Formats: sequence, structure tokens, C-alpha cells
Amino acid sequence: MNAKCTVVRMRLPGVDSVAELGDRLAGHAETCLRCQAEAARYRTLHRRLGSLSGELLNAPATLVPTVVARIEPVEAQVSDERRAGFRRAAVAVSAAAGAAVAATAGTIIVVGLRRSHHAA
Amino acid sequence: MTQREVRHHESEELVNLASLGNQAAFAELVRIHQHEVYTLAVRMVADRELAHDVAQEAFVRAWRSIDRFRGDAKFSTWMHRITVNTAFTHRDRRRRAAADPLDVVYREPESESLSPERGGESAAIRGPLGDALDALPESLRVVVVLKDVYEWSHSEIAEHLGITVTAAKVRLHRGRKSLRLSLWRHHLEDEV
Repeated sequence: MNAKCTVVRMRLPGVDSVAELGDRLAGHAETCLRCQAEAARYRTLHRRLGSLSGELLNAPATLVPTVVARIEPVEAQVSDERRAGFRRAAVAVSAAAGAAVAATAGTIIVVGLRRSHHAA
Repeated sequence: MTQREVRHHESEELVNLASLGNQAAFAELVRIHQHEVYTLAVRMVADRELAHDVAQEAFVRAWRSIDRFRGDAKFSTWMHRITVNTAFTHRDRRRRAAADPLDVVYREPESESLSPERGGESAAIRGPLGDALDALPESLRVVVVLKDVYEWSHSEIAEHLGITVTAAKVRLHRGRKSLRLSLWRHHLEDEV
């Protein structure tokens, strides 16, 4: 194995074909049996990896139903957001009304107590 | 019109309907592309249970942004990109969980939970090359899968991984070399 063989072996994993090595190294690889064998291994590897794109695994049967259960019509997504907005506003209004009622009731009680105190 | 063209045409119609908010059309797209998306997810994360989560999340993300799908690329290509991004999100989430011992969730070892059919399918489809791919470090496996199986360009890979084109090329080089060594160990004497 000479210096060119070493360089070819170092560079082969990074190229898609021997031609990409440049004229000098590609010329060597065409005549050197060791380099030809190594290039053939990488060609086989490329071919086998490429063929994986056509090999599909079966998705679990639960995938489609799970996805379908999670998607909602676009209108529903929008109306859900609106509904959430209304809900937040309603909670705020009820809280304010509750506070106002409590304050009024408190005032009435205090005034009543003062009046009864003065009358006594 | 070939069967492939018919399928592509049908896919386009379904995408148009789905982008208008038609749930049934999108559900049909999920049915058509489920195996493709799941397979890519398995190749990205090398874990079937996690791949199920990735595929599911990828379809939900696609549904939420289908109105932004402009049809420049095929729907399957668009789904591939979403799946790859989702796989990265899940990987980061898993890393964060692993860093926090309180979040560690016990999982049954996969070999014990495989049904006979899934075990058979796994052995028939994957073989030595699949095993060698799974054994690669994730950073190398992802680049090899995207470049050599799905024919992404170096710049596309670099963009999705957030690395430079040079780094993508270096990872591809290391990944391929490692696969060659795994698959042809009996030729190692030539190395000397």
C-alpha cells in the first residue's frame, strides 16, 4: 500500500464517487486493486443506504387515531380561543361584582351599627 | 397517468382541502404518510416508543401550520422537515429530563415489549446495516440518514442541525467510515 492508497482511503468516506477525488487519485484508484476494492465497499454502502428510503416500517396502529383525536377543525381552534377569552372576562366581572356586593353589605352593616350606637 | 402521479395529485387535493380546515382530508393525509413519517422518526431517534411520540407531534404541528404550506415542495418533503425538527425538540427535552434525576421515567426495555410481529418486521427490514446505523452516535447517524437515505444537501442538513456545512461534511465522513468498519470488519487486515 503506497501513499496514494492511504490518501484515497482517507478521502473515500467523504465523497459520493471516485471521480470526486480528482484526476490524479481517481486515476490511481482505477488501477490499484486495493483501492478498487475499498471504493467498491463504499459504493455498496451508498447503494444500501439509498435503498433504505424505499423500506418503510409499519407505524403502530395507535398513531392515526391518536393524531386524529388531537386535531381540531380550524374554526373550533378559533372559537375555543374566543370561548376562553369570554370565560376569563366572565370570571373577572363576577369577581368585581362579588367584591362590590361585599363592600356594600359591609357599609350597610357598619352604618346600621353606628346608628344603633347613637340611638343608645 | 402513473400510479405515483395519481397519488401525488390526490395528495395535492387533500392538502388543499386540509389547508381550508378540512379535518377529514388531513386525517387521510396522516393515513397516507404515517409509515413514511414513522420510519424517518425511528431513523432519527433510534427508539420506537419515542418515534411514535415524534411522529404524532409532527402531524399535529403540520395540522396547526398547514395554512402556511405553500406547495413549493411536496407534502411528504414538508412533513420530513417537520419530523426532523420535532425529533430534535424531543431529543433536547429528553436530554433535559435526563439531566434532572427527578424527571427520569422508567421505561421497559424495548426488546421485552416487542410483539412477535414487530420483532419479525424489525429483523427482516433492518439487518446488519440498520444495526450498524443504530450503533452510530446520534450526531453522526442523523447526518448519514439525512444525506445518504433522504438525499438532503449539506447546506440543508447544516441549517437544520444549526452547524456549519464543514461540520456536516466532517460528521458524514466519520459516520460513513464507521459504517464501513462495522459492515466489513473481516477486511480490516487491509487497513494495516
